[in-house]
Amino acid sequence: MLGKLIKYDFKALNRYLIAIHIMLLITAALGRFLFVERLIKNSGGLSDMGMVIMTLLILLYVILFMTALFGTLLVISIHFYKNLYSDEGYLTHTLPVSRGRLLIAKTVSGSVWMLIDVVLVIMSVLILVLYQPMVREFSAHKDEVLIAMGFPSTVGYGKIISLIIVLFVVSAVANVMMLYVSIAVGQLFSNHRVMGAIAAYFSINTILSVVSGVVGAAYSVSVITNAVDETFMYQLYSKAYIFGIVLELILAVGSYLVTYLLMQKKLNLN
Amino acid sequence: MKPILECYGLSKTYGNGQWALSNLNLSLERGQIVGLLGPNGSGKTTLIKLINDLLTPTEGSIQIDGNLPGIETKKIVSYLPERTYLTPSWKVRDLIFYFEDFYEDFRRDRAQQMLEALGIGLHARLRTLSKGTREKVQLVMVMSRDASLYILDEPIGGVDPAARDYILNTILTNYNENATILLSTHLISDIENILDRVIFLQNGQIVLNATVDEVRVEQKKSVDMLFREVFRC
Amino acid sequence: MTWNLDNNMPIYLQLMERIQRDIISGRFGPGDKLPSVRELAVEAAVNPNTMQKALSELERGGLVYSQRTSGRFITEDEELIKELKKEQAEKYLVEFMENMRSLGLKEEEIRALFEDAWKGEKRA
Repeated sequence: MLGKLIKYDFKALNRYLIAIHIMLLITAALGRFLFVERLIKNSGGLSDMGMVIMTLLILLYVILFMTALFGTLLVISIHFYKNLYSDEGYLTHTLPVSRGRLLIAKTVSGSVWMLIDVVLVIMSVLILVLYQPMVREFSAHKDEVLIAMGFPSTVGYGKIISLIIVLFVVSAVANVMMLYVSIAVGQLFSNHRVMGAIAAYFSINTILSVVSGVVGAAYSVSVITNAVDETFMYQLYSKAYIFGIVLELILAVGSYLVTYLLMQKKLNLN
Repeated sequence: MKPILECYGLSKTYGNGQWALSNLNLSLERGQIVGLLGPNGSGKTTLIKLINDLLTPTEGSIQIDGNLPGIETKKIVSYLPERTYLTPSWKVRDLIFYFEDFYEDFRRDRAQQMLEALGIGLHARLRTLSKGTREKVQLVMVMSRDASLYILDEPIGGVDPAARDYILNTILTNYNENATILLSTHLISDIENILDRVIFLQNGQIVLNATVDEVRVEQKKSVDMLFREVFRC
Repeated sequence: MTWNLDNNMPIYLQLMERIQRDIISGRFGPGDKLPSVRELAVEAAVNPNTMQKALSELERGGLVYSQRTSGRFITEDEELIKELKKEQAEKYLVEFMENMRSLGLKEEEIRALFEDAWKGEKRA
């Protein structure tokens, strides 16, 4: 049953998300071949016009990437809302499956697409900006850059890379759960369900920022007293990533439980 | 055989001081076509949602074939809501696959036969169909399941008389003695003849629970006339 | 084919009347097999349980009998059918007389009108 639910959720999400992401990649590729390559050839000196165009392009692409990210969040949210709380909900909630399964299917399909979205946006950025001169620069100063990013030459990359991957995955799940719990909370305001959801979303986000900020500040204070060596950034980053992972896990699980309870006890379709 | 539906002291409030259902007691046997009748706000929709696990009772209990509303009851209850719950972008055949995927008691051949008789193509996109046709599609899907309890909420409201006849005809042809059909409507004179039993609901309570013949013999009037009397504004 | 049921009399009584008329008129001949309860119910647009009740009552009256596995059949007793036809005809006549009298007509006027109507039908 769970597999079938996931299948239908993907079917609904794919309809818009595949198109959005294909457009994303095509636009990035076009940008690379039409503009970036030419700019590289003229890299000797950019005319004022060239600078203006480049700035505009950067702006354009930032907007494009933000649209892809936001668009993905929007499609995932809308599907969740429509399938469970609009008229379609009359069909979904009378299927012979538990509410838990319904929620897990939405979580899986939403998180997978969040991850795909983040990965593809990063890839699009790389498509645009990863060109020879930059790669050369990077290779020349590789060690300094890596140390600054938290990868000291004395320690392997393995741990940090795996932490980053875990953080990405957990963040994707947590982000999706935040959307879902906001929508579920919004449902409690019978006449202002959408506004309620948006309000809930911003509230949760704000609380999250405050908590991270406070913890981050407290940690930074305690760290300043320690010696700064090569492994400093590494320690800092790995602790930060671990803290991030734990926070997102708590958020994800908490949101799931709240959403589940709200669906089970407080469902009130119109 | 166990009654298909039992309500004991069933009560529901939405928290505003008003009780949508008050201490409702009901027992429905299998093999009946029952009319759930009452004006707007009488509690019909609330009762129907409670049967379908779309609401939880505030007090009392409700059981379908001896089970509390949940996965097991959803397997044997086929529900036609007043609203259209179809995904507009789907084609008719997508809907058939969906029902087949989730409902073991769904009979594809029955659905296809009915759709063919209605002239509805399997490749038609649901959003291209007229409102009346969409409602018929929904009815076809619901009646194509071999359920123990069918709940039809206003199945003939808002359709033309010919469609109405078709719908009533569909209900009768798919009738089987082990299943119960609960019809909620306010168009009583149209359906009176196919009902075994009528239940009048008013202000969240049952004010009448009798067979149609009992009403006609004892009250010496049709159910429709009795309804107008009981619920006179 | 609508069975024109009125809303004030119990349905099963009306169904019985209608089936009886069908038997008398010959739509269902003696010994004929009746359609299934469900088919009749769908045709009449009534609840199958109600149709079942009507048929059971007709069985009690002897107009219809059932054979366990083969279904229901019209009686072969032509005398019974003739009796019923006579009863029904008499009912119509009584009704006719009452209606005519309610117009305030006297017996000779009624007879004259009747013979004219009868001749008129024969010519047409």
